[in-house]
Amino acid sequence: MDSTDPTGFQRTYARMKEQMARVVVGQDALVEGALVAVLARGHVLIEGAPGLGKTLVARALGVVSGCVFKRIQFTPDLMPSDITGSSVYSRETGAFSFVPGPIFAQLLLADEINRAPAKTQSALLEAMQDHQVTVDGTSRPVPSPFVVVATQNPVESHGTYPLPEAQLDRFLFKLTVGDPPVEVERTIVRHHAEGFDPTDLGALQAASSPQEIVAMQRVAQGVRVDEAVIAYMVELVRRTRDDKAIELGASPRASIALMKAAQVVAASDGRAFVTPDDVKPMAAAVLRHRLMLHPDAQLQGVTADERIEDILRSVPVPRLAA
Amino acid sequence: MVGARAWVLCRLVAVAAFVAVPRVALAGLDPSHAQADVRAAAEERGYPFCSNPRTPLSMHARDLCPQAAEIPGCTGFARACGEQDLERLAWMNKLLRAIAAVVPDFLKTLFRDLWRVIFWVFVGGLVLAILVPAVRALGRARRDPAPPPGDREEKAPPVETLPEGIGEEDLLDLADSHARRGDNAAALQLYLAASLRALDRRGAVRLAKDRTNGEYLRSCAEESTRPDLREIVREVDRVQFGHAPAGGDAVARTARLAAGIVRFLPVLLLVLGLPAVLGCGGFELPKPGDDPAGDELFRDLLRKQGVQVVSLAYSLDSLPLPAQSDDDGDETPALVIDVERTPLDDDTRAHLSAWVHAGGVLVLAGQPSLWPGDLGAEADGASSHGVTARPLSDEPGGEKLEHAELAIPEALRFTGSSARVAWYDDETTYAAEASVGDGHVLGIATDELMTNAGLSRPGNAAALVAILTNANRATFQVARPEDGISPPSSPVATMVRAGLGPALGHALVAAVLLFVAAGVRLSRPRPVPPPERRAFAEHVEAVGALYARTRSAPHALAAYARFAEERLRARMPRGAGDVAAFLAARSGLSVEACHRLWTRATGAASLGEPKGRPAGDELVVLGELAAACAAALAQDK
Repeated sequence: MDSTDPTGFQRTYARMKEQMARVVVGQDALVEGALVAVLARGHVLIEGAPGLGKTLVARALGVVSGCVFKRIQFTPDLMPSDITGSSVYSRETGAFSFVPGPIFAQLLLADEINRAPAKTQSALLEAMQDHQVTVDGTSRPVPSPFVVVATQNPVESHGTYPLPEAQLDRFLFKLTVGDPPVEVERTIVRHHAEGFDPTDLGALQAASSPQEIVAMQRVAQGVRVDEAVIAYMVELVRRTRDDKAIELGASPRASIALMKAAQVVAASDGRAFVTPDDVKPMAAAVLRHRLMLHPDAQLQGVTADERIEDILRSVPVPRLAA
Repeated sequence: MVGARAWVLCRLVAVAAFVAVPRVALAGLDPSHAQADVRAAAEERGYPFCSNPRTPLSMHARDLCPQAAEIPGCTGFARACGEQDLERLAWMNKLLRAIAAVVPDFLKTLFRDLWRVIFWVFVGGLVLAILVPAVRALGRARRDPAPPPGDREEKAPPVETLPEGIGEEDLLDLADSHARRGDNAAALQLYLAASLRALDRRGAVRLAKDRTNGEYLRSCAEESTRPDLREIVREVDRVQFGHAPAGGDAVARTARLAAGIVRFLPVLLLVLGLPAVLGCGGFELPKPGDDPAGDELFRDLLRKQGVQVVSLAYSLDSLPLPAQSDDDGDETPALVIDVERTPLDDDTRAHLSAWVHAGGVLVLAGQPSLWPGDLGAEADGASSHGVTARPLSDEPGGEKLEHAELAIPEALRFTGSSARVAWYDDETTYAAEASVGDGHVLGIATDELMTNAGLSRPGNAAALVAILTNANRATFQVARPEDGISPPSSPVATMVRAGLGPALGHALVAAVLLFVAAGVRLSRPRPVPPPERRAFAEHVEAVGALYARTRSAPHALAAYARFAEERLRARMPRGAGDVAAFLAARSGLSVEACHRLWTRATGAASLGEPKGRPAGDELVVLGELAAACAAALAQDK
């Protein structure tokens, strides 16, 4: 394990990215976002139409990171205990024993998370925030690292339960997946024609281990953040609260998330300090699901990404001389 | 027929009269010591055309090569001629002359002037590239007198308070002063700022307060500059955000990189320009008298002969016409033009012709095809090289003939009457004198006798002087190469005269395109209109469709009336209560029509009000009301 300094971090990160690129074609931003979220101890919500590789990214991430991977397909009849696990009576022992649910994994894929009702979605809240699960009054820690990768489909709104704001805020990133360019799509089809099977990820190798992921998380946490960069990030987040098109801006948790993401980006570049250049690319992914647009703005077709783009343009980058 | 005879008779009389005028002017020109004068001038001035001529030899000088061996002590010229493949060069000379004869004058002028313009623009650019930084540095030194050494470093302004619009050179200087003071972090920032400012000025990046160093780096359009900029950015980020110590070596390296980026253009100009100016094989400035085809000896000979040689005060195109009579005793100087050296444009030829008609004495040498056409001179062929020249003498028949040997056997003839002054052994005319109007023309078929090499051959100087005595003047004006072109009236005329009119037009169009493409974005930013919101339009259409489906036209009219009332009341003056009257005043409709419209609109039933069925005119009324409201509200925009 050599990921105890930014240079080693950079090498391992590059290895993981390279492995991911073997199965995920043309979704660099998605891959990078997922990796950054994992290394920043965050959770990631991936939104995109069906067939764009959301689940594939999550599965590939599980293999590449070497973490214990589990998947939950969210459905309307999914119960919280189906996620957390429950106490089961044992006839032999005459006692109740706890049968852990799939949430006790290091990398949890919550597929189509908005298909389950709010009560079930909330079963994830404690695990995501406090890294523990309480069942029958007993709190049990989830393994470390613990990362939730949730997916949702933005187009089919019938029979779905939009994630509440409190739940959304727990996600470090919301990554959106768009249609791939024509060249990328051709490459994807060519790969399938050559025998690629997305259900078989045996070709992938683990580029790290859970221990190494934890070590990398520590390295990222130790990356220096200058006061000027902190001020820049805070200003970015505060501007979301002053924007007239935004009814509810991002919370201080967003500032923290932005800083954590920037630390990982800096470390992935082999640096032990954060620059504004590490912050800007992360802003949209960190902020877009934390903004509640004003109804008038929504009616006019304004999107959160547009507002974030404008805010980024309006905040000067820290610089002594320009 | 009678008229023609009378004209010929008049010309003969005029020539005879010119020949018979008193010989007061002949005191200066004396062929007997012409050769000695040439030798003395060459020794005094030390002209190197014989010993060390300018190489490669010019086309004109190569024509004179057959004479080289005949000139005493002219070994350098002879050697230079020997080093050239004379046969091939002679063939090339003929080809070039043929091309020159075919190419129209305006094209020759264009190419020559174009070359001059390019050359001088380049020289000007080079001088500016060197002078501008020097002058700015001087200006700064004068504006900001050097502080005493003790407090020099403390006076450097902090980087946070940089003045707006500070240039990249000033930023570099400021960075240097911070570096000297030991404030390396600020110096690094300033080096980066100077680099970005220079790149922005060159259009390689676009400066904006929201752009990060990485964004500048990735968007830099100058591929060659990017590695240097990357190094600077890395160093600045390391120090500013990483709080790493800024070492002197790092600052020195950054300073060097920044200076390379900022001074990219001047350095490029120097790198490209110096080889072009100096040439690959070295560069030697032309020295006076190093061209065998030059005319330095000719001017010296005239002076040594005791005649006055004056420069022209005007261009040939604007030469004042000579006075009709010289009652005050002043004679108009003879004007000597070597058309091989002084090209004449059409205007100049026409003016020279008028000048001669008005009484001027013109000595023309060189190809007769280049002379003013109405002088009636034509080129002629000659088969011999020996020329006999007859000087003007007080005693008819008593003159001493002079003999010359020429390398270029070309002759001339006048279509009108003329008096032969010099002739070849085959009796073709080398030089002749003709009366034109009140003046005279002394034509010489070639300018060989006016060249340094031509005059140096023994005998040739005396022959030239003998020919020039026929001008019968004691003062000569010798035209310079630039005198033949009439001066332009404006800078634009200069460009047009040089054949750069179309190029000027293209440059203007290019400037406009450049402004549209690049300059517009540098102008004051304007608020960008919000993009068309399709979703809103769809919402409106959907609402309209809903009203149509539910047959709710009265409700639509009532809703619109309430909306219109709210908008109109917000604009009504204090105390006013009649909305219809206000609508009429603002929209230009009649008060009655507005009252009717308003009553109908506000009387429409809204949803849920049991006021009966639709009357059928709701949508028409709504349309009219909308048009009136739009007209009324348009005044506020």
